[in-house]
Amino acid sequence: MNAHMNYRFAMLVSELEDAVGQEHVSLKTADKVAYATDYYWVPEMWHDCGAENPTPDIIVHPGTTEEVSKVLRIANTHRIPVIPWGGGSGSQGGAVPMYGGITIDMKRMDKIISIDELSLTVTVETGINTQQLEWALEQKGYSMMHFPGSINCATLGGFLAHRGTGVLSTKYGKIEDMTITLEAVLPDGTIINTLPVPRHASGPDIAQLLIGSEGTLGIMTKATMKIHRIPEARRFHAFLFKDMTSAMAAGRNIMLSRLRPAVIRMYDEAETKKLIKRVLNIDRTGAYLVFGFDGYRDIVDLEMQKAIAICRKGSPEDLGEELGEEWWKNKYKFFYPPYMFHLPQAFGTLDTVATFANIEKVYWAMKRTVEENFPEATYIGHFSHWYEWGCMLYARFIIEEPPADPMEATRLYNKIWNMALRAAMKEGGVLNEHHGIGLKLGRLMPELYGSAFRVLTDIKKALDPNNIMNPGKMGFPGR
Amino acid sequence: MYRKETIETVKACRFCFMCRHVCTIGNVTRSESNTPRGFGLLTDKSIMRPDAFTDKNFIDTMYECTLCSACRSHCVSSYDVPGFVRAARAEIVAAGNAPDSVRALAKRIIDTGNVFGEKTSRFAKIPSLKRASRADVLLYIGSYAAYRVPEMAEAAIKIFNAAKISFAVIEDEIDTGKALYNLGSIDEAKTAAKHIVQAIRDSGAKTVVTLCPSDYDALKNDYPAFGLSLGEVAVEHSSNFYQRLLKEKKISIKKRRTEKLVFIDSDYLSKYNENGADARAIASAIGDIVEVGTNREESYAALEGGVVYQLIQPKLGTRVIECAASKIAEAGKGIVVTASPISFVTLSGAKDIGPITAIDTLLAQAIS
Repeated sequence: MNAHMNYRFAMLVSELEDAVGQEHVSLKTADKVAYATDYYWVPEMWHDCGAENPTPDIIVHPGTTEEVSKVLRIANTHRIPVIPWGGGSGSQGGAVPMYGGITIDMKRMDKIISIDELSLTVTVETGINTQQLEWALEQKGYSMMHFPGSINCATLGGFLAHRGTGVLSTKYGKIEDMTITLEAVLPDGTIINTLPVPRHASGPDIAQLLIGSEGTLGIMTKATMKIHRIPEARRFHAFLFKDMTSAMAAGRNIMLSRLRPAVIRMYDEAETKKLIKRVLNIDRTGAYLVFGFDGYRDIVDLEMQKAIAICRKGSPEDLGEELGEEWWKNKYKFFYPPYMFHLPQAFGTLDTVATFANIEKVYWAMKRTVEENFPEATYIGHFSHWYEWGCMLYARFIIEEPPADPMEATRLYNKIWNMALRAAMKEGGVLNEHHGIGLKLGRLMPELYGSAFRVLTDIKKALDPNNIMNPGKMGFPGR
Repeated sequence: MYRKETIETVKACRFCFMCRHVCTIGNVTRSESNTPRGFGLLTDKSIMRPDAFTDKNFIDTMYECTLCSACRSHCVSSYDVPGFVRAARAEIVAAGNAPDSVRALAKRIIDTGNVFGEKTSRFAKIPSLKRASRADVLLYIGSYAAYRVPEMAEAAIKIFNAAKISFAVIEDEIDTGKALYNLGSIDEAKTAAKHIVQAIRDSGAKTVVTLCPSDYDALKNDYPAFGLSLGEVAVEHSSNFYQRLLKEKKISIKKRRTEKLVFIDSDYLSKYNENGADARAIASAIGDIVEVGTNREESYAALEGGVVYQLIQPKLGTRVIECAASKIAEAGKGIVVTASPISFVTLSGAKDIGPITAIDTLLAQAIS
């Protein structure tokens, strides 16, 4: 860096220190390494190859919305990229600082501001770790009922930014269904609030525009979220079907019966063999299906009885409550090493969602695409989040020995994604259900949206004319 | 050179975020480098490129982990994050790159046999101690209790006497080596360990009782890892020993406390060894326990894990102590009870919390 650049950099650092306090601005090399890699396979792989990943130039830790606003004003004035960072546990590369700049770590903004016990809502700063939030709520007899595998690692802001989904989504909804109102800071530093309630006829919903925007339109700083009383009872039951199609029929029929399970999860034969055996020690051939209900005990009992009767029509092996409970107890275990896939394996979660009419077609189309074009890859999948009209497919590909050369490995990796997701979209799937788009899938956004993508790019240009917010993500231009 | 097991742990943890919510230092600084994943990434860099630990900031960061072990305790696979942090520190020390504060503290411990650099007799503040050299039970007092919390040692003696237990002490007791191990001075830690092992053998003891949970962990886990065996000698923390005395009715609780007892789990008992139940049971028998925080996974032991953290990281250490103290204060007014003389010392003087009492003192008063 020449003297001129040094001078400009020093001036910028001074401005940021003035905005958030000197102790909350970091230029440390150790921090730059830690913020260079999120949970996306490509930067992890580059790290393992000994390569230097793109790093932020500066990391700031704002403590208030006003401080976030100041940082964005500074960045906008100097036209410097800003990368919001919640827990950093996103799998799509959304927090990777591809163009350097300022990484804003939101974790200091972790206060629970209030709990409204009349409306059953909590108002909270978005940098809060979601397990910490859940613990605090549970201590008072409440729960968010949002239990994704990333609950220990992610922040509420991260969930909002990526339209996250938890294990009990079938009853309690995705994060966008749980949101009442938001406070956010726009790229020019303006602080805005969305309407106080999510159901209205007062124009388009700005909250829903910000949710899922992955830090490209601004930074959500505060949120009011639904909470629930801890239910009196929660019960699970598991079955083993002869194949995925018959298990799918049972899950679909539970949903179409309009029973209200908190969760249904169904693993294809390959994943039942590979992961259910490994994590739950259930060594059977077939498709494992588990579901659960919660609420008042007598209602839960009745719903269980009805759902079990629906399943039995498919003549499955009844694994009983115990092997259903076992799944619930171990629901996060899948994501810990060594149970989770890990480098040097190449792996990716091709999660998508479609109607019941299309979801199996999506499954088979992706499976065929992966297996026929990439014989070195294994394809497995489970169906995690079930809605009244369809469900989510959490498909994965795994390559045991990807190319050693990082460029070749990246090429192969992206080729699988391109082909598999194009196959999914052709059959009525979308690019993603709850991990987001990030760096990983941005290039496919124009294909997904078609001419409608212009709506998103025009909004981006209007709100962020200098393209400072998380450039190069979500299919928006880089720098 | 890192051991194979250490490398495997680093490879498991370098991209894993699953325990970050319980990371003591990460929850204070909010920095990604101050998380088990962050420590794993830096250590992994040093595995791939041994000169990585010539970067001063990398080195300083590796000494920011508090070694509370909440991460390992949380992990479904019990990956040993504190273990690889210690291994990384050992690499740093072996390469001659230890920070000045670490180097100076290690020298002080080696020169004086205690973390405080005290030159006075180890037992000077424990007047009721009778220094028998041989007995079935050996009481290892440790420098925190000997020099900073002598009332804890006095209480232990009172309990032993009430139960009519004869005990020996090591006349030339020095630190177990736990602090040196935490600093990365492995060879010196092993030298201290050999001295303690020989002294225990010489005492003829069948059971060693430690007052400090960190010393319990040193004898129980570090020494075998160093290849040192105590043979048939049992190692117990004083809370285990007391609970046994209570069960065998050699002592009994005569009065319960009316004050609430704000109980702090020890890192070395609960997180490293899953051995915190006895301390908790003793406190419960004496009074009504109030839990700290929203969960039992985080550490509120205020730097116990590091043993000497506050001596090498005073600014960060103060922030960690303040954070723990605020959670303790939120739990409500009452007597703060700990089984750790280290927590006793670090929390002494913290704002807005009640008086601190060692579990030994609490029990000694209750059996009177």
